[in-house]
Amino acid sequence: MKKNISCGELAAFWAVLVLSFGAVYQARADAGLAEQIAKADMGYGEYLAGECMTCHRNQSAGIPNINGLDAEKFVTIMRAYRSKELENKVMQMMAGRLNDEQIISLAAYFSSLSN
Amino acid sequence: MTSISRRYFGGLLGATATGLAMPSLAFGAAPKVVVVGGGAGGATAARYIAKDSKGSIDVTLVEASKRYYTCFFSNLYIGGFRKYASIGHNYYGLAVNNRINVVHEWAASIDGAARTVTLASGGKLSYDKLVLSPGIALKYDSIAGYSPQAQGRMPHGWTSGTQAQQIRNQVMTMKKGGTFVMVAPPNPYRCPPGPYERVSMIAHLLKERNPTAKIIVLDPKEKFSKMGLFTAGWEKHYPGMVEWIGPEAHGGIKSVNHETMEIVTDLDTFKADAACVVPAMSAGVIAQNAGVTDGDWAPIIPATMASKADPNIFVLGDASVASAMPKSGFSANSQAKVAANAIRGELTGSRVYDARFANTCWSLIATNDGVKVGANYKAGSEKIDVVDKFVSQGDESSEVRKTTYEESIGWYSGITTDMFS
Ligand SMILES: Cc1cc2nc3c(=O)[nH]c(=O)nc-3n(C[C@H](O)[C@H](O)[C@H](O)COP(=O)(O)OP(=O)(O)OC[C@H]3O[C@@H](n4cnc5c(N)ncnc54)[C@H](O)[C@@H]3O)c2cc1C
Ligand code: HEC
Repeated sequence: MKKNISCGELAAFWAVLVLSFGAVYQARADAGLAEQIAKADMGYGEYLAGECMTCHRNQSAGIPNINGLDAEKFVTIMRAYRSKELENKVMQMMAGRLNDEQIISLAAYFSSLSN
Repeated sequence: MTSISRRYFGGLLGATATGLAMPSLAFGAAPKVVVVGGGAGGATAARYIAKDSKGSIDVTLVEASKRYYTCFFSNLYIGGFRKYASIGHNYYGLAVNNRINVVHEWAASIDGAARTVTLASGGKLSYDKLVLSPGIALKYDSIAGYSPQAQGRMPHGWTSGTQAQQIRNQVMTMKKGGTFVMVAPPNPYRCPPGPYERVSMIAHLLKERNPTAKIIVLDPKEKFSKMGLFTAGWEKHYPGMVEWIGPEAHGGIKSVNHETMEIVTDLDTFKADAACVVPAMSAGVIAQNAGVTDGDWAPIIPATMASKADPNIFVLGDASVASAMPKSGFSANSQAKVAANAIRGELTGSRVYDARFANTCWSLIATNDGVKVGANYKAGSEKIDVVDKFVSQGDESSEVRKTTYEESIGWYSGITTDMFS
């Protein structure tokens, strides 16, 4: 795992994620996800990412760095914020207005960045 | 490839019908964008236009100061949570990494018909598209007795610069058991929770150094942003220290006198040992000069942030009428990306995506007690409309409050990188 998500708090967060049956099940069931990610509109992802960049940069504290995050994991996390399975008011709101196509474009874009 | 064929296309058009309308395209040169104001809106817009157009647009940023001290986190500096140097940023990254032509001058006037910006030195810049993000001007005459002269002893600390240092110094040197008076501004103004975060940070300083001191807040408004969260926080952390007085109780703020340090309201006169006076505001002077304001602020078209008065001028941030969006650094940064996308589309034919906006304002009430309010927005035909919103709750655990504060530190580092890297 990347350094910035190895701290206790985020480890707990990952545990919640893994235990969250719904989220994991959805990721498995979504057989075509890898293919959708491969075909995603990177330009759209880059535009949408502008909105995330206000908070998510290469900083070391406070907000996790999401550059280079695995695309499928990214989709799973964003869906979990959208369905409010993951806590955090800001992220629930940001994910809440994204449809699957938008989340997938973002996943393709952020996973292409080096951290 | 694309840029060559587009230039050729531009050249053809230039030779025929639109030669006058697209002067720089007609000669095959890169289209020109001038950005006035290198703050939250302007620095972001310049950076995104330059970065995303990959050199096909010529970007010039006109910013009076060589160093931008953020108003955001200036309250944390006052409270002792940040060093002053840590809220200052230079324009090196924009010039060197993004090849933006950074001009450290004052833009003196704008000629919308000729599409030129005249600098205070007399130099002229021409543009195809102009971005104005000049922030605010203070309306000194909104409070009788207040003036640029008076702000020495009664600082506002509401624009970038040394005023925040003056406020901190005043608090540190205030006599034991003295009274600090904060005069809050009327709506609409930059940073709705800002005055109350400032009160919290002054209380934090006084609690340690001068615990018998008092803070009086004279407010022209009946209620304010995150009011319940702030007042509960003051009760909890600074019991008996902060007294907020609204218009029903003071009857109206009539005048201030920086020599006697008196603040006169309809019902009472308050004698301050130290004071912070924040008057009413309007769009930065250059927006008024450009003829894009209607009253105090500049109306915009929500989908692009273009001025309603001039399609070649885009107005961002505090100076604009962004309806539901508060005047914040986060909002200005968000609006800049919408404008950058629209401007690139107009100048190079790049794809223009739907406008989407967001804002979150964090405030620190005391050590590890952070609160936040936020929303996201879409472009309606007339106004920027709220899609969804949230606010911190009164009954949150101290752990959540601490995480909220930590998020704000991450955000500060994020937004300043997004503006200046
Ligand atoms: C105490 C306080 C706390 C705040 N806290 C927060 C916060 O926590 N979060 C948040 O999001 N926002 C916060 N804000 C609000 C935020 O600072 C502003 O909303 C934001 O800076 C607006 O960006 P802007 O681009 O409109 O203007 P600014 O950032 O003010 O930038 C304008 C720039 O234009 C330059 N300029 C103006 N006219 C000219 C000219 N004619 N020629 C050349 N240069 C010119 C100025 O020098 C300035 O650098 C706070 C504000 C205050 C006062
Ligand atoms: C206002 C600030 C803010 C904005 C804007 C924002 N985020 Fe976040 N993001 C956060 C915070 C804070 C967290 C940590 C939340 C938590 O602890 O669950 C987070 C967490 C995440 C995570 C989980 C990271 C991990 O390693 O666990 C992802 C993925 C993410 N955000 C994606 C996005 C995307 C995509 C956008 C843009 C659409 C976005 N964020 C916009 C603040 C923000």
